[in-house]
Amino acid sequence: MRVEGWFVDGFGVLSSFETRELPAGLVVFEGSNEAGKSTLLAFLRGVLFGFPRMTKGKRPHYPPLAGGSHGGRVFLRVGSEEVTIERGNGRPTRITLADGSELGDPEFQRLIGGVDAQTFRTVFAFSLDELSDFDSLTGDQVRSRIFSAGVGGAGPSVRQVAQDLEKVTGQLLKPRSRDAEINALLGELTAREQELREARSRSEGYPQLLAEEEVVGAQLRSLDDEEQALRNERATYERLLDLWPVWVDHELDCARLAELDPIDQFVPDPIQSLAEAKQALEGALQASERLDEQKRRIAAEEQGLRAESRPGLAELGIAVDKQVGLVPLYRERLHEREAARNRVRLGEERLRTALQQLGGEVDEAGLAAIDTSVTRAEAIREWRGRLAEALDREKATAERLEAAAGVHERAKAERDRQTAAIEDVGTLDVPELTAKAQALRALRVGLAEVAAKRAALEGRLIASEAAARAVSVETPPGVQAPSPRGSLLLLAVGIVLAVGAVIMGLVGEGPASIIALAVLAAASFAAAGFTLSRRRRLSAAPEPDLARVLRAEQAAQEELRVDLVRTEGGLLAMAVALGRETLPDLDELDRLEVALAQQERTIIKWQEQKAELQRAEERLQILALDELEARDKAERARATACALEAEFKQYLGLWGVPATLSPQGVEEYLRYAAVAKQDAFRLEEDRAAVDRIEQEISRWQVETARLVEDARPHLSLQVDADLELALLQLADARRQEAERQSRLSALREKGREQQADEERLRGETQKASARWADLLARVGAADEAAFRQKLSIFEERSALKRRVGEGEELLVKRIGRGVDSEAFRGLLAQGEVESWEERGRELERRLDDIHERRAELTKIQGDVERRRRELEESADVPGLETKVEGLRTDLDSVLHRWRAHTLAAALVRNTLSVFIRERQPLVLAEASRMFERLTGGRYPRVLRAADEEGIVVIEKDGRAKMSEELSRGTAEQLYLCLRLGLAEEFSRRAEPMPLVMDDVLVNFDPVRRRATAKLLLEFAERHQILLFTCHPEIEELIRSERPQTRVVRMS
Amino acid sequence: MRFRFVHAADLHLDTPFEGLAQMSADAAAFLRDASLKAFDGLVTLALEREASFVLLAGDLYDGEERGVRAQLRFLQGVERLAARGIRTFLVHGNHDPLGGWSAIRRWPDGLTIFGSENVERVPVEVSGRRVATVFGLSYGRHDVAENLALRFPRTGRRDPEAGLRIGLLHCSVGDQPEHSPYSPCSLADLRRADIDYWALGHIHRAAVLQEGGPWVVYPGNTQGRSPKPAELGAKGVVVVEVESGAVSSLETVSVDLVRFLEVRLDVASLGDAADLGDLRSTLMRKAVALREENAGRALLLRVTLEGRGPLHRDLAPPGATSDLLRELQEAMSDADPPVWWESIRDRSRPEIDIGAVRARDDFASGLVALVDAVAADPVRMEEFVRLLTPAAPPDLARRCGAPSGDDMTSLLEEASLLALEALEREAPPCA
Repeated sequence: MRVEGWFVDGFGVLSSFETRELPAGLVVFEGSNEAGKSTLLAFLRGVLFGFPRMTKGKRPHYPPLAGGSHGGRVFLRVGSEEVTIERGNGRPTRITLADGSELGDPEFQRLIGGVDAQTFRTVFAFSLDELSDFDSLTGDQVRSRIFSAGVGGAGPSVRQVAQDLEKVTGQLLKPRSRDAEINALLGELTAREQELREARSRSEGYPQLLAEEEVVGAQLRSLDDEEQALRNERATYERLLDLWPVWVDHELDCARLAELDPIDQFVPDPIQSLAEAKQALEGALQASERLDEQKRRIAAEEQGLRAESRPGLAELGIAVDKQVGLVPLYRERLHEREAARNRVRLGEERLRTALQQLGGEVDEAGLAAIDTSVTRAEAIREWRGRLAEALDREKATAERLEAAAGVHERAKAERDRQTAAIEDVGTLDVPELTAKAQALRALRVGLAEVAAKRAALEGRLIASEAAARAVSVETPPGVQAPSPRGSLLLLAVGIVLAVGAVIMGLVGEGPASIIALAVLAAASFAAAGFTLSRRRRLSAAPEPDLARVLRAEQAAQEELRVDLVRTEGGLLAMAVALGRETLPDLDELDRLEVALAQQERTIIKWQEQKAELQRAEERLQILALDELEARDKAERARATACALEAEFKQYLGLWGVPATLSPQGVEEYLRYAAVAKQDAFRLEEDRAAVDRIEQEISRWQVETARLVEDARPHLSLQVDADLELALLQLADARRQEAERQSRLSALREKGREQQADEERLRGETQKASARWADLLARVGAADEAAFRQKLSIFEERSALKRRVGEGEELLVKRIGRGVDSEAFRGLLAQGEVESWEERGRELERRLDDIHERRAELTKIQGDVERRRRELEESADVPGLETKVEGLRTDLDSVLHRWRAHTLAAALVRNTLSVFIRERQPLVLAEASRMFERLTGGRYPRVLRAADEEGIVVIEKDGRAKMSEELSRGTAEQLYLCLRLGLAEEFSRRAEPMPLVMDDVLVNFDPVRRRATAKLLLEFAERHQILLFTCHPEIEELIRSERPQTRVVRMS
Repeated sequence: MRFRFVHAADLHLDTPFEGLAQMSADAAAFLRDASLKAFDGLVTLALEREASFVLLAGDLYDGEERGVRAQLRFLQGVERLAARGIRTFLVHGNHDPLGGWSAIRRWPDGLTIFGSENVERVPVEVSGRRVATVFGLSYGRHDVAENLALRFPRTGRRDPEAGLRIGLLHCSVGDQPEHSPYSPCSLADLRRADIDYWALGHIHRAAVLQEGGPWVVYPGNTQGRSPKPAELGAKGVVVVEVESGAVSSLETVSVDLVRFLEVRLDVASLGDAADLGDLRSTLMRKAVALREENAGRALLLRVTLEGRGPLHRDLAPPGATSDLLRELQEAMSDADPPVWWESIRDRSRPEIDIGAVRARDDFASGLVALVDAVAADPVRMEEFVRLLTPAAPPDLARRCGAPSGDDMTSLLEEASLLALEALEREAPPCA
């Protein structure tokens, strides 16, 4: 890579500082202090690899102090590529190639072989202070950067790669920690394995559990037997205590039974039987008394009814009922009659109105005669159509006539307007205007021709004057005269242009182009003249051909002048003909042509109006004929319509309808007539209904009156007052009489029933008395009290016998029969109740003890069983085994990752060691060679210190010195050699980078300084070196070694 | 006379699944019960097929510390068979040698357990006629190096009353690299015995080593137990049909509940533009196809990604494969029968041309040269073996020995790619 130049826009003290076309090799930048050399070094570092990041609120790196915006451009050549880098705070970075394509920083970094900012600063661009800073070379980061360059430009630090890999291994496994992945898995695996061992141990205790379960089961069964025996004994005492009250009651009942009279038989259901017999006797006696009372009441009622009876009314019964049944119909007919009468009244009124609507001259008979049939209505519609058609035709012809008249009137008005417009324009002389226009165009052509001829003449005059001056001057010696062919050529061009201008003027081209050609022609003539004059000045003597040409030219000019005067005279005559005293110029000619064009447009318009007027006259005549035709058609249509109307009136007169009616009126008349005929028909129906209803009413009234008359001997009725009321009174009286007769009949039947009841009650009374006496006799009692006393004894004995039996049955049921039973009865007979209770309590205590022991054993048994079942159903072992297997698998997987990363890191570290061991000696060998040369052979070797942290130099006699032991100047020479060695090593694998050194030779003695200068000049044959210095002697030293060295001075 | 029997082996009842990553509780419970249910399926099959007897050729249990649950489940199965008159013949193998503790105090009469001292013979009758004789020999300890096949009768004579002669043995026939060589024997050893049908156990991959003269049959295990090759695919038993005293046909019947399958995928086959989403879709499509191929079985899928491709870089960040695994598991969470994605093994490689790197003269080529040198130098290899043998924590050191030679070979390749990928990675732009 080579720096070809830069442009510093603004950077520290530098502003608009540009340097270009820097060569390869060594270039010296000489300048006094504060000239900006260190600033330039910082500028180059910053533009190439980026300025330090500017923190907010801080000033940028090297702020522009002398103006310009921060940063600038550096021009590089990298291989065959031209690269321009533009960078600065506050502006976007642009890295562009010659073809305009842009690169990013990574691409640029790859292009230069992976060098980054730190490497560049350390190895390639350094100041005096940085040169003496050995730590910058041995620092881990820089060292790894240097070696990573050997990776082939891959970029990332090899050591960083190793560290990244080791970081992963650290996350996976830590020898003494639990927070790494393997450690955590290991911890969990250990815990789960312990759980698994415990679970397996539990499983193997299964047979022991089975044995325990059997032992406990046997103990429980033994306890069950013992408990059963105690429970049996306790049950005996509980039974004695339980039966003791029963036994005592049983014994008492037996004793009482023995005391009572032996009444062991009695009538069945004695109380019930006694009550029934007594009730039967008392009931028979009470019924006889009630029957007597009924007989008395019926006789009294029958007597009253006979007194009120009127038998005559009964004969009218059916007829009266029938007539009463017709009363609702009668009332309905009365209402219907009133309604029908109202309808008749309304119908008559409606008919009168309808007849009046028909004109009042038609009565009901006339109405019936009017024909309202469909046929007649259809004939009227036909008439209406014919009449309407005639009227429409009449109306249409009239409208057409009106329209034709209107169009005729408007055409007349248009014709009058056209006539007036032509009169306004007045009379125009067209031939005169045409002649004027032609004269103006001829005048324009003539003027152009005159201008062209005048220009040509002036050009030729200038040329001929110049030529004439040239003929009298001598050509200086040694100077060759121009060729006459050029002058003749220019002259010919001028003639051609002038002739062209004239021709264009003649064909009427624009004056601008003609004048332009004329000017060109004049220029050609002038150039020809100048050439000729120069040739004349350079020639020893005028040539005879040229004199002849000049004379011919003067003759031609004279001809042109005469032609010009003649042409102008002709034009003046044309101007006079147009009314001008002098020749007009071009502007005036334009104005005349504009006025003439206006007059021409007026003429064209006048001619168009006249043609329009002619067409309007012709159209007016056609429209007059149209109007006459329309008027004739309108009159004929009107006559046809009148004739048809007369025929229609005649038709109506024959038919009996008012002849004044229109067809629509006749249709309306017929609709009214039809309505009136319907009204008349309904009226007739209503009148018939009134007659029919009145007949029915009359029939009911006659029959009612007859019935009332027939009933008068039996009943007092007002016949004339209200027939309906009288009939209803009659009906009510007849109903009352019927009820009386019915009641009398019922009373007679009741009397017959009472006689039968009387006989029956007598028999029942006798039977009840006999039953009562028999009941008392059966138990040997004299009366009811004795009966009840005997019954009491009998019932007590019965109850005692039943209780004694039940007690015995209970005893047998509880203690059975046989010997044991008798023994148990013997115990009961002893009656040692307290002894029994004591023994029961003792047994209860023993049973409680057994229960407790049983509960303990049951608990043990449940626990053993539960443990056994848990083991039988437990998935702990397989579950834990699965878990453990999973953990082992995961552990294997993670361990594999740890091994892969550990091995990868080790491989990187080992390779790096190899690189350091095998590659660095090349650097040191190179440094040794150069250092030996600089020190005049005093230090032939440079080595890496055993601790790999420092540098050792070997003296000629073999003694070793640490770099710190060297003088400052010697140490700086050593570090310079190391950097040159590194740069050389770097260039073996990538693009050679330029070196920028800021006054690094100042501490060298003259001998070593010169040796260094030679070394740098040799080194610069492969690497560009930009050497900054403020010491003129260094510049002189370099130039003394290589005079053509480029020196750039900075002020 | 016709009859049939069921031959099974290597039940490994109620034993853990080996080599599986930690899984969800549901999946773990399902897998735990799988071997027991597979045995239930075996019993049901024998009942449905009306088998005359059942042969179990060792390794009923996985270890001497056999669980109570497993023993009781086995007892229930034998009782179900005995209730229908189906006898069960059993020898113990290297995983469950005789003498292990027993939770069962009394076995039903229908079960015959062969001893380990001598080959015992037990006649088998069907419908009152002797149709077969079962010869059997159990392991007395787990590490039997003796060729037990030689102890079986070798007279060369045939007892006409013996019926079909069946040899029930747990052994390793020939070279079986996936299994420990317990009771090693050869086919020739088996041929020389007075046996018509060798009912063998120990090898988990089903195989008929010889068809007739005699039959030599490994039924394989009843339930796959790990992602090892021999454990993949369908697992079950052999139903043997016998006619006129000779084996007439064999039928392999699956009884497994869970099927282990490996999904291998070359990431290069997905193309350069593929991303993790495409990878997931491809894996899901493969899972669906496998479900159709193994209808009715729960599946346990292990993904192994291989080959070189840009996807390797997407898979490299920590958590990338576990995230992908989680997405696959969620996508299949509702499957019935269940489908579990067990793990994703990323064996893919970066797109680094080792040959091209080796040809360069830079750090990477130096690293490759170092790897080559280490691989060729046992002494240097040993240095790295020591480096990769953790000395602490002590528990880890006790558990994990040094990596084997094969391990070192693959570790060297993996580590070198790991390092090269890191070295070749883009550098961040400078300031």
